Amino acid sequence: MIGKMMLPAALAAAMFAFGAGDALAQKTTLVVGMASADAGKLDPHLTATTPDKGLLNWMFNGLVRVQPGRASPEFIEPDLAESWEASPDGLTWTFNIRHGVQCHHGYGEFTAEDAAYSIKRASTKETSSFSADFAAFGAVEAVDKYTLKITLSNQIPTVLGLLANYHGGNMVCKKAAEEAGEDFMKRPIGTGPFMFAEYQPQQFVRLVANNDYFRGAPKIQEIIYRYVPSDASRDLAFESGEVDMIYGKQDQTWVDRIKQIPGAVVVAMEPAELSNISLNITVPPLNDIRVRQAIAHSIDRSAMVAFRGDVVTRAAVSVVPSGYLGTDEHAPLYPYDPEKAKALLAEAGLANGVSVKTIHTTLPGMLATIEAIQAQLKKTGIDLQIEPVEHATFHAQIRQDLSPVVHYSAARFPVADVYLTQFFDSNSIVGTPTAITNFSHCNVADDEIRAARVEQDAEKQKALWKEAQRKIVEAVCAVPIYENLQLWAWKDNLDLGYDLKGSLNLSPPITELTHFTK
Amino acid sequence: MYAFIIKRLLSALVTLFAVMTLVFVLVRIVPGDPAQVVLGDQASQEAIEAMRIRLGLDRSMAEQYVEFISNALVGDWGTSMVTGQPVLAEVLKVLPWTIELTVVSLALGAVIGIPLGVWAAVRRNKLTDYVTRVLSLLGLSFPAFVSAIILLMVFSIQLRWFPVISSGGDSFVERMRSLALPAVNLGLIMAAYITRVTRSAMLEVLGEDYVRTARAKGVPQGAVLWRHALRNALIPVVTVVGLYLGILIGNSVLTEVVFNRPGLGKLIVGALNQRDYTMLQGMMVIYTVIVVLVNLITDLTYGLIDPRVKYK
Repeated sequence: MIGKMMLPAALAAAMFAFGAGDALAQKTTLVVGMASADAGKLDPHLTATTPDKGLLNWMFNGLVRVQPGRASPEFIEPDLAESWEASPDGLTWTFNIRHGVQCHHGYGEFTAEDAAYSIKRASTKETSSFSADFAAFGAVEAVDKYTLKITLSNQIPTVLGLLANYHGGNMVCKKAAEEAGEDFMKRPIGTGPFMFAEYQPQQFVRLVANNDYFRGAPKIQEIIYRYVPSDASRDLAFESGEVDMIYGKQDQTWVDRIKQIPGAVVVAMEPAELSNISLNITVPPLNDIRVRQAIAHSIDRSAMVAFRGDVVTRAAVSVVPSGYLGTDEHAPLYPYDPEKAKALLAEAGLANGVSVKTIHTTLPGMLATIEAIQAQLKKTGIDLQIEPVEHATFHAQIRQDLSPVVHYSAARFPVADVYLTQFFDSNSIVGTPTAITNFSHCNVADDEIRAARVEQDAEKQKALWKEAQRKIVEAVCAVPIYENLQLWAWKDNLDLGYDLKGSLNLSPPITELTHFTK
Repeated sequence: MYAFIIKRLLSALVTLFAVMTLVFVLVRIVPGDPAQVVLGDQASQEAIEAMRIRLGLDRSMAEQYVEFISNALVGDWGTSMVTGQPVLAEVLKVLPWTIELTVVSLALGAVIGIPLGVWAAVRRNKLTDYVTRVLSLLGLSFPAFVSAIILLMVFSIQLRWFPVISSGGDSFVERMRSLALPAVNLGLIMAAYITRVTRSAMLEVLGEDYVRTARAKGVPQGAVLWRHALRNALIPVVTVVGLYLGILIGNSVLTEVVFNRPGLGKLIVGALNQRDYTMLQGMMVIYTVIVVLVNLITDLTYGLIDPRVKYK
């Protein structure tokens, strides 16, 4: 009898031993749970997806970097370049590369040659998704081993922003990239605090510490970046202690639930994604500005923030996210006024109601928002017909100009020019050869957007951006709703080593200073 | 019998060809651009165009089709449009996980389901029968992802017996610990199916003359059930199991996602979301091969159970 009782107990004890063994020693392995089924293209110049960027964030440097924990270009500081200077006309830039920086896995010293190669790679469409960002880059040359000279063909709003540790500004090592060619994404080589070690499909990517890192050997020795697509099991794995840090579900109920877990730190950080409702100003009935104004007057932003939760969202301030360089934090948005909306519709001869269509993604968070907006619009007699389609279909169809109303949620590099250019410059209208994401066919602020792009006087530039936003708001190319912050949680025994307010690459930077306290 | 197998395999080739053509067309009809999905929503238009050329999507459908079929004929399934890894290698990497899960849950299902089905048939319209029927109905109608979460809450969070992320594999013990909950999750569904089929097949057989005769001449109850009745009742069970095995490989996707195990189901859903044409094509062919093989094995099993079955 005793023997029978002992067996399950012994089994249970054995099982405990497996999980608990390494928790007693000082932890140096960080396990991160990411909301994705698998890795994508692990090449910093190709990928723009959240899961990939978050991981590459820990492996690469830029010539300059945004201070860890910040998400704004005002916090730019030296990274691989120790110092730099620009010619008075802003067209020639010289960077002094830090001495003795080592590329991962023995690929030698990082020099101006590597920097020049990397920038050229990022500006070539065959090897980079961000090639268009570098259109103004002319000659990029290594003057000597530690001096890089960049000549621009015209002025652009932020040269340093493009050379920061973000998108095309990530610096790859020439020898490794040339050797690997298309396979670079299978073994990405940079100069950051962590190095690529292993990829297991559908499971994880393992990074190991780069003990030769120029800022010092990282205290964390290993990062396991686990792909955990199910929100529920990611949370459970965090609760059980199998994962130290998780990417959050963009939802206030998630925040409330995770906060209940003992020792959990939940952070809502920048950059916020702005939810804009673009209205195609060229198709009926939306080509009548009164209809667009009626839509703007029908949407109650504060109710939407209350609906989504005020920890994870805040009301939009303009058609550009708040906090960007050049955002008008008090843009003259149309106030919530259902009576005015009804009057405008009546004036447009649509007193009996009007119907508009939107092709919308089935992503649950976004769908809940558009349904709430649908309910708000209904009160003033606007019938928003939602056509839900799977996410990749949504992205394809809105770019084919098939949806008169487009609900799009996005964060971009935090300079107003990027958002204004991509969403409101007429060159970016979808369905054209130069298309980006101008779904509204907006063309009312081209002059200001383009003038601001090359304006050297900071004050004048801001004034132009402000005027552009005023015109876009007034013409109702888009109705901004709210801004959604990035959610992460980790255990309180993890000390990031800095104060986290935001991260351009959407994951908290894991630096050489990050460590476990117990 | 060999002639039978060869004939079946030859007809499978026709099926394969049809599936390949269908899949090739279907994945391209679905809206969505692989280059766009792969590069993300911030990629420049020129970069997307360049990617389309690199992936060969700028060429005509006919050209792409000819290339796909001719490459497939020499065993080249291409490389994934997303990860750049060879399709076959990707599939082979996760295949052991899927096979392991499928086989273990099938075995679990049979071990639970067959005795339970027999028992319920014998105790027809008694309490045991009712309870078994309600339980098996519950098993069939319970969504796999809900039962998976419940299993995790109880055994991983409360009792801490098993890991949440069930893909450990460094040692045999770890691997078995990881396999336990997913296998139970799928195995219980399988058991529910098998119980119901076994019960109804047994009921039919128990009413046959030869069973009555066996009983009349004094064969013990156990022998009547297990040797005479069950043996004859097994054919429909094997049919159902065979059919279900094909479905199981596909259905395991929810279990794989919640327990975070690699597997074919997860691979194909990921490929679909990302419009990874090459991966989808390769996966569909592999699925077809699996289904054809399972059906063939099912047919051959009939012969083992019932010597009267002849293969022509």
